[in-house]
Amino acid sequence: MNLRAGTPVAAAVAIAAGIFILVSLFIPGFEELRNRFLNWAVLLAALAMLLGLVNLFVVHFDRVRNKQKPLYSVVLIVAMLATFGITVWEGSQGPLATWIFSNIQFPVEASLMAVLAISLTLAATRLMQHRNDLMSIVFVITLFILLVGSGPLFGIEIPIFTRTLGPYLNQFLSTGAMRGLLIGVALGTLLTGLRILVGADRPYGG
Amino acid sequence: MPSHSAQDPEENLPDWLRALRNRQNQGQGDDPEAKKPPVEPSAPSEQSIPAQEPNWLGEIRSRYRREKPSAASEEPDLGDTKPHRVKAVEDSPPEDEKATPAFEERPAVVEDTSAIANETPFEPEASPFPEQEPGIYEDSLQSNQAEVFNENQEAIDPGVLPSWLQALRPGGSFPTEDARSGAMLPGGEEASGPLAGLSDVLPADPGLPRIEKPPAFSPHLEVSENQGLHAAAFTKQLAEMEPPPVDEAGRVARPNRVLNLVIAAVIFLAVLFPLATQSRIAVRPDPQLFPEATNIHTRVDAVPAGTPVLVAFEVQPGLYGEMAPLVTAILDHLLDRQAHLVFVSTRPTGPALAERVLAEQFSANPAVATGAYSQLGYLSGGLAALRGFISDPRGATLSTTSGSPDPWQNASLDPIQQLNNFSLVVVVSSSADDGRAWIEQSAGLLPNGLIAVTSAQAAPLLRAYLQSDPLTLQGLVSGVQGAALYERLRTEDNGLGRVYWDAYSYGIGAIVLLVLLGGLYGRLIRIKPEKTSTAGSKIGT
Repeated sequence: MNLRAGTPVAAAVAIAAGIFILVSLFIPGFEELRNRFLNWAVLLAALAMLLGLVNLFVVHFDRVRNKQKPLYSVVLIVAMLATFGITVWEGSQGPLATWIFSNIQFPVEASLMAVLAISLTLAATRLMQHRNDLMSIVFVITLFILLVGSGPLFGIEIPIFTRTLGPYLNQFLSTGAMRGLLIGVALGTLLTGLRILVGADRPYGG
Repeated sequence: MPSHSAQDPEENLPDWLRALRNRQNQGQGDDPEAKKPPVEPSAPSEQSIPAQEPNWLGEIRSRYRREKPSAASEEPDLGDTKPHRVKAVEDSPPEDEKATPAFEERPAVVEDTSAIANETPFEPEASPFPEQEPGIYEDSLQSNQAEVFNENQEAIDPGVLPSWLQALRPGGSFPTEDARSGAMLPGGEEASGPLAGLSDVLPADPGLPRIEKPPAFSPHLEVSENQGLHAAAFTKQLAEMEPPPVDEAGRVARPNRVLNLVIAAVIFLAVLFPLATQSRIAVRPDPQLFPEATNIHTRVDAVPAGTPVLVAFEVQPGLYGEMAPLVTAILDHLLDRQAHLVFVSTRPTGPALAERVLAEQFSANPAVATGAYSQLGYLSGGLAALRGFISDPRGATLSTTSGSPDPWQNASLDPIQQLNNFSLVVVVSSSADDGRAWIEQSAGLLPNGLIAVTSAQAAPLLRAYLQSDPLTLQGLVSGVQGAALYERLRTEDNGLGRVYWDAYSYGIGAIVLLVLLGGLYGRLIRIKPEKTSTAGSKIGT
């Protein structure tokens, strides 16, 4: 039997699995089977990540073969293969794998975040030069209140900001906005789940 | 070709065409123009015309001649089917010079276009409307011919290209003259054969063009003297033009590397100065303003000694610097409570960063030094894996360190069968999504909820869960501010949070000043042109 992803069998399997996981959350006695299903999903996700790794390798190998900026691709392929091999050989907590993480990946990501801090400061500095409208003024005023309200400036506390305006913005305005955002996200997630369960959306290609 | 030179083409004409020529010559007998020496020596005499012409046509012809003798002298006869060779007839050489064969004669150049307009070589001999007045017909025909003549005259006016367009054409790419033979040109007359004298006749052998050397095309731009003078004048004008006025706002808006370096230097100095001087002048946050942080302190204080505490370590390397003082303060409190720490992470970098914190900050702690904690490792699979771990922690697939024993074999974890068996669940998250996933997936499974230790950027989103019912999030502390606050709650004055707090205070102060100065400068450079333009308009008015 040819079980291609485009056949109705795939849709039936996906919908049945989704309904089973949903029902098992409300009906006791199916916990073990539900966890087994979830473990299968985890294994599939791990295999998907491995496939992604292979795809990345193939893409950059083709670039090297076709000489499309091959230097970056060579560096990526060598680094990827070396890290993958070392981690498989000695484990993620091995000395060499830890050295690679601590001395290459960690400084690079931390440096990028430091550059981001400077870039954001520069953008805020030049905001009024680029967009001199009402919303820009509101943005700058809000930024000023939050920054001054987050702590003392040069060791000097300004109580009206640190005790009144700052907490008010943090605990009321931003929280209210975030709750509205979360409700929207929840409704969207609920709708997406329902559409998959009834077969209206078939992200698996059925 | 000498073989043809001695022959008269009129001798080769068929009988019917010869008779037609004779009738035409007879019709021209009364025409003054036709009284000139005939082109063909074998033209018949005028007396033969009435015998072959119908009576009705003769009457029309005689009436036409009586009414318009002058017009008849200028225009061809209606019955004249012989093609006119205007210049050739007028400039025809004497009889003794006509030894040249007719087919070698060049077609006569028609100089008088009016003759062409009046030329009607294929006019029928008789009008199809005999009842109509010939005078009316002649008038309308004359007017129509005049209109056609005017239209043709306008149509054949040669186009004059502007000099700049001619200069764009590559020199020599196009022949300057029409390379076609004279016989192929419009208006050319056939010089020989049965169609001799007829114009616009297609060549008998179009597939045999004249073989000649193709013109040599030059790839260079040919510039005449006049065009060169114009180009030089234009170049001089461009050189003398003043540069456009510089837009001050646009000039400032362009990336300015110097400004980048200045901002970076100011921030670095502001942060490094208190660290170098061990400054402690900044006042730490008031705990009364942050009850959610106080809740965490209360919950950690209530953890029984030796009980397992789950620490979900969802930290990115880029935000480790912000998270380190806060995580250090919380873990220090937990270790003081002699809790058995159990680390797990849904991020591949999470276990390594957890080990880094323990190695950097708690290497002297007996529990850490003796390995009295558990590292469950990386939990791969995203939300599905997280849901599986929360539902069945022991059944989840974990990628622990290869070669290390199963962490669940630790006796301290024996009572753990479900998530709520942990005495406390602490989510250390640098992103809002990771914290939200833990809060939402564990909702309903933890009666007292969990506590979140987050970065400053994740706090606004997670703060919305603080007042949820049922309780999902009991406490929240975030950022360097949270670290300073928590150390204040623990009356700790030498912690990492306290050291960072002054650097944070100076750094924030520097950033606020930069933003204010930049905003004022931006306002000023926008106001300045407005004032200038306003003043200019006032002067103008």
